[in-house]
Amino acid sequence: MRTRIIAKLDVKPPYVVKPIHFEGLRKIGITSELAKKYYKQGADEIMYIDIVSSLYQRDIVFNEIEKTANELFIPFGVGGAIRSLEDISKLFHIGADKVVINTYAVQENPEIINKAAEIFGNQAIVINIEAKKWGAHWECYTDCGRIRTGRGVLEWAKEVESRGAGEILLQSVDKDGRNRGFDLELCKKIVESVDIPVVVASGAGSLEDIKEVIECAKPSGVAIASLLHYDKITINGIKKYLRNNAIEVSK
Amino acid sequence: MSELFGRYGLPLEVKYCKKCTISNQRPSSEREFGSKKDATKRIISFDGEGVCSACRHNEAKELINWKEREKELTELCNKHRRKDGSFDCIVPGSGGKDSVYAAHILKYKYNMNPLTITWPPNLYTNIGRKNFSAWLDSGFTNLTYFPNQKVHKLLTKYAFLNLGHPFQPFMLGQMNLAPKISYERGIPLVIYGENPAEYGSAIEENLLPTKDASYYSSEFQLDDIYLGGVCTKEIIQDNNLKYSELDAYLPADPYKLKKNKTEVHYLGYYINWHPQEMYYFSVEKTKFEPMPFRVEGSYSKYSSMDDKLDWLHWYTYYIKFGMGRATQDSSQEIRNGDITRDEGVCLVKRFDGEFPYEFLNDCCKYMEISKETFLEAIESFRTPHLWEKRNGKWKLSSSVWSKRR
Amino acid sequence: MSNVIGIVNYGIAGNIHSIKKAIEAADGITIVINEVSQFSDVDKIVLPGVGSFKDAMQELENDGFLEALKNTTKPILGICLGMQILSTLGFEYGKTKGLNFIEAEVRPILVDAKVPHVGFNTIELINSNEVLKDLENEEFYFMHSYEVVNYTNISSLTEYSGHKFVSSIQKNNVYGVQFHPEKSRDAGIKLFSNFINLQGEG
Repeated sequence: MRTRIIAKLDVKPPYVVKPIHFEGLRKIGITSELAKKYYKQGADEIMYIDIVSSLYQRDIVFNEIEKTANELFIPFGVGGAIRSLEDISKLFHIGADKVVINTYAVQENPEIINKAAEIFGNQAIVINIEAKKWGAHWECYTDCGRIRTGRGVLEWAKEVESRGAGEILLQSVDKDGRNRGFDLELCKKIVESVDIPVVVASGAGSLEDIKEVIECAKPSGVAIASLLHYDKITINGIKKYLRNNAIEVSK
Repeated sequence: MSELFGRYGLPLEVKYCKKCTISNQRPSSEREFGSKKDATKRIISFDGEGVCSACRHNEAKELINWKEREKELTELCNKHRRKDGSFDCIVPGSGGKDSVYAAHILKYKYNMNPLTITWPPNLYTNIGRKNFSAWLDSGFTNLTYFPNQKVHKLLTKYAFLNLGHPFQPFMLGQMNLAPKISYERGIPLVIYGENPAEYGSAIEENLLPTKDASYYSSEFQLDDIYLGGVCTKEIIQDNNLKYSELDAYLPADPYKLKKNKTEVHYLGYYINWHPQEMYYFSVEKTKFEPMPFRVEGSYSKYSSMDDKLDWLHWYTYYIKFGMGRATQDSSQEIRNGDITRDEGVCLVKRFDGEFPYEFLNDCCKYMEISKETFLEAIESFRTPHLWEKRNGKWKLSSSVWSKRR
Repeated sequence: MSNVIGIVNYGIAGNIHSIKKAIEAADGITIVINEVSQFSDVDKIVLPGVGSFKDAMQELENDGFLEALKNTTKPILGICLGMQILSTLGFEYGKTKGLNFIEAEVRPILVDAKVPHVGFNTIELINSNEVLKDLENEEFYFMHSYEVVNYTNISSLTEYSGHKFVSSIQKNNVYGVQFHPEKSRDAGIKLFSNFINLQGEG
């Protein structure tokens, strides 16, 4: 199966920003422009994660999402401050193909996963996990990598699968934005512990890093942010490199 | 009490800045030597349009010719740079983002030879210790002055119980150390990171690149200096101490400063200071790391995280002035365009003034007081016009999220 | 010649927006079908693809669309779930009757790999299918946990972890694709273009 190469947009509407360790709001560009840019570069999917609305306890900024969804003929995953089935339905109606949930599901109401999977189909429900390493295990964080939940990542991953989530987006608070490689142990462990697709993120600093995480953890997809935002590499470049290294990717 | 002002001389009518989240209850930085309980505070000023001086200072930054300022910094460095390989400037700090940035650019961009000096945190957090090492790992010599811990703990206790200001001893040492090292070691140039005016000190202090010497030096008699609200002479006598054990907290000698030609500068005068960008710089160029989770009382992971006592400091601040860390952090980020005022208000509403559970035990143990004593002391500092009891719980009488602008 | 494509509205699920945009990118004209009377305003019909078999069939029944769909000779394109409901029976959340346009059942995918099947994959053409004209070498985006199990009217298969499943069907005026053409870049837009250019009512 072709490994998906996904462009991850951390959004503080209307800007894409790039935090490091889930801290900082340095502006990179206008969301809709960057989404289009990465689509043209050959991204297999775009992930739009509003990283502040849960933290600010405010509503989803729908109009920005709608603007970004325009003219994207690849899957568009949207997350950030999703708290109800109405939110999810509205997102699908304005162009989302998948929804990405973290804070509300793990902190308040994991039942939303079951309900959403039943109504919208499990493949459209993605659970975002922000993992922070403590000793030999990882803890789930919320609100843009700042609030501890006391839940173990491994146990939560298995729970979301059993509740009907179709996919996991796995991020690492320790590695995100640092361009120094992925948390390989975390990625491998989670990919191996569930039967649903896992997209890994956080840490890509070079082509070798991307190749390494695919070979080591065998994820369904890799989500990239910094490398793309700072124009260090293009998606075409990544795919070409991976193909040359016998890793199957889409055209 | 007059009709306009309440405890600490704070205005009875609470007003919030139209641009950021701070209120008119915020004290400016003050000369710490004379602090006595209930002393009147100098507060941040609001202009006729209801905008605070920190926000106005920020607006004024847009009009500054930063190229000119950079030129001034280059000239300053040219003036002090030594060719014989000896240290030519002092950079005080403890490995936080500001000192990482300051030391780094002075050494690697401006070709200076900085000696970093540290007045260490009262109680290092794990991340504080880690970042301190990371700082030195990026190539700096460091002189750390550890005060007599028995004395330091005692002064901290006095400061907390008498003034509701446990951070005072730390702040005194921090302010006084660098100028003293400057004349002891014959290195005239001292360069700090940002300028306190960023946070609301008297705006006229920002017109100069240097800090007013009266903040860190004076001629004095021991009778005149109060530490932790207690007369220094009394502290020495009651505890059988020697002068040298309190020296670190006492002002620098103005004559020695003059003779040495000591100058204390702020990089925030020369560089358009953007704290979040200092965070990025530190993380990108060194092994600096943010807090592993947000600090209690705020949402931030990159500011003031190396001292467990800081948590306590912000809580007492909140009790006295009705504002805490989230107010400070959000105001700073609003001014620098990282977040909007509405977003800042959401963050203040959600996090400001959280009880410092994380390190409370450590701090009480440090000061050798019980939790009960701690709670009693807190109550004694609660500013009456800022608090009211609702359903048996203390609530702010007015708040930035409910106040009409 | 009028060539309006009607996209059937399933209620709270459904991915109308993306399909609408993709058809427009292929120079098509679309309307959203919210009421049964609108079936006479369109020349071709699209059944979109987000939700569950059971809910989709329930919605179609509630809205009174079942008869209109069963009786029409206008070209119909079912996408993902939209293709699945063309079957006889679905086994998602119990047993539900489908539109029965093709003799098929919809069952969970059982493979030794991650499910749902998500990502780009190729198709292997078995029989001709006008909407797949010139697209046999392209990759399309799949996102599903169920597959259509049938032995007739298959136009292409797709392999996933050693298992081949039906990725498109065609029978008379009815076309179905398991993948999402609206999410398959230029290849998907070409597919819509092929659909738009089909002859009208058979």
